[in-house]
Amino acid sequence: MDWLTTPFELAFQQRALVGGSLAAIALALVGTWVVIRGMTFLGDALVHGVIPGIALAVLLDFNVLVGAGLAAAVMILGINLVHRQTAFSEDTGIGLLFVGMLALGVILISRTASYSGSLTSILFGDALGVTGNDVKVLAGVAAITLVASVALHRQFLVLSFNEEKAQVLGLRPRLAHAVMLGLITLTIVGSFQTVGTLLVFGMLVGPPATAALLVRRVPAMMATAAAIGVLSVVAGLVISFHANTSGSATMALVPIVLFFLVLTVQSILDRSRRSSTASTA
Amino acid sequence: MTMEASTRIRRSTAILTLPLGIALLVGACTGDSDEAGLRVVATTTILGDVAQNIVGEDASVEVLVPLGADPHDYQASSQQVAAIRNADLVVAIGFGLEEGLSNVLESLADDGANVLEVAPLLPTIPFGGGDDRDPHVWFDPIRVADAAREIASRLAAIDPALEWEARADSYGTALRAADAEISTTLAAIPEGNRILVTNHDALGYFADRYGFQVVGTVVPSGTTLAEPSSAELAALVEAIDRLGVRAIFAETTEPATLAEAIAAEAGQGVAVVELYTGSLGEPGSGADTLIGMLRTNADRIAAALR
Repeated sequence: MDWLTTPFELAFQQRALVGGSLAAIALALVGTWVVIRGMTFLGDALVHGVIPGIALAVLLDFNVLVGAGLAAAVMILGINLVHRQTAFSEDTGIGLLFVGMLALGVILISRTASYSGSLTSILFGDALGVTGNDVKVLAGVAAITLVASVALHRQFLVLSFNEEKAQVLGLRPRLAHAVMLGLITLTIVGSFQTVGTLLVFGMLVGPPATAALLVRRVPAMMATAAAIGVLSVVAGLVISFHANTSGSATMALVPIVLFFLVLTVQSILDRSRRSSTASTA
Repeated sequence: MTMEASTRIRRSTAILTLPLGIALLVGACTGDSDEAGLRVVATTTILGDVAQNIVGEDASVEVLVPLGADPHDYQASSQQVAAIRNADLVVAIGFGLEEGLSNVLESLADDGANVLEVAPLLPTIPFGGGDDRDPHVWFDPIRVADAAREIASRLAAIDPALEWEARADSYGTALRAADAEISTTLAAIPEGNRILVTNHDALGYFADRYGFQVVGTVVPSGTTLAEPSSAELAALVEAIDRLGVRAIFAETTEPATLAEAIAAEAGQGVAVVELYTGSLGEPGSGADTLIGMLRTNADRIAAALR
């Protein structure tokens, strides 16, 4: 079992494992709602849309989490404005804001007269470079996400499956929607600075989508997604060590490969089941 | 202008897909952990060559950023980070040059990895508008000779029995000889032509050492990740015309599309000349060592500006 233990012998590898797993758990919880409610594009847009906020925070020397939060808020308000004031479907608003924010980010990065090495390292964090302090931040994010997911489970559930009923029941779907967006933003912002954009987006969508293929009920989906997420972090680190591939990227790739594996196995099983029913009938 | 527009779009896509691109830049060379002797890890091929000249047969040298890749955007594998952690000495440039590795280097230094950043130990020149210092120290052979002595004294602290410092001194002598030769090569360039326009702001130390002036760069800011504005490019074209600049110096690690667009816009036979900047050349290119690379660059600059 040496091949499984050697990739985790060193302190940085253990921090990558713990930090990556905490991020994977938090992202699996919110990612389940993202997948169920079809908000994947919004999630991707949020991951990239916070870039100008971070660039601004570095330029003006204030907390990057505040900058990222501000950019996310601007983005969500903008998307809501387009959605409410026009007849366009929501993805048009998301697309507008996505490109707008990304362009703003590139402009701000290019405006930095000084060397922007620090900015790049913030934008594209690396799971292998996670510090002890980062692990604490990730633990906090995971804890908040877990508590909120449990406490607001009913509100989120009704919001996702029957928004009109939520109104009738007095569950305030608008507020629940806003809280959910806030929670998604918190998880993305809290984890992407440490583990990198790519890993965050991979973990937000990959494990929940795979879980949705396997189980039906939402809590089971969340648990399965979290387990797949943690498994992907472990597998990613083992592969990155033995195959000598980039850490965060490998971890992000594992759940995607897993998704298509599950999909393929299921469709083969489905076909053989159908043909066996056909032959018995 | 359509060429410029398409380049700008490509640049933006490059930033958008950067994490993916980084993922593909996976290191090729990994040291054998069973090897005897000390283990030295260098971040770039250039530092790897400097380190190799100092350690000779007494240590193995592993290079992180592959040949021909840009050290500004690079992300390591777990295996490479483990090599950094377990190395007896890690040699880096510092001042944020290794952008994709800075998180890793910082966190490993906290763990007790022996990381030596050479640029902060040398006399440096300012960079950009702020209080940053220029990390591209390897364009001045004299500064490299100083860096070699720093690396040797770090190694001597680990194993004083070996001849690190003697080898650093003889490498220093070779660097000084190359410096004199480069000065002679560049002497052919008349005073009025000693003007450089480069892709990104990498040649500050070269200009400092050999009496050139960098009047403009295609990419603003120190990182290769930034992109220029239309006004900046227009101002650059204007400066090239006004000063009679003969060549724009592109880089082997970066596409030269923007430089070519500017050269075409400026007209009057402005050449686009590729220089080795962030990485050594392929074996047999003549630029496969630092000294060879500096000589090749000097020859090309002299040929373009004479």
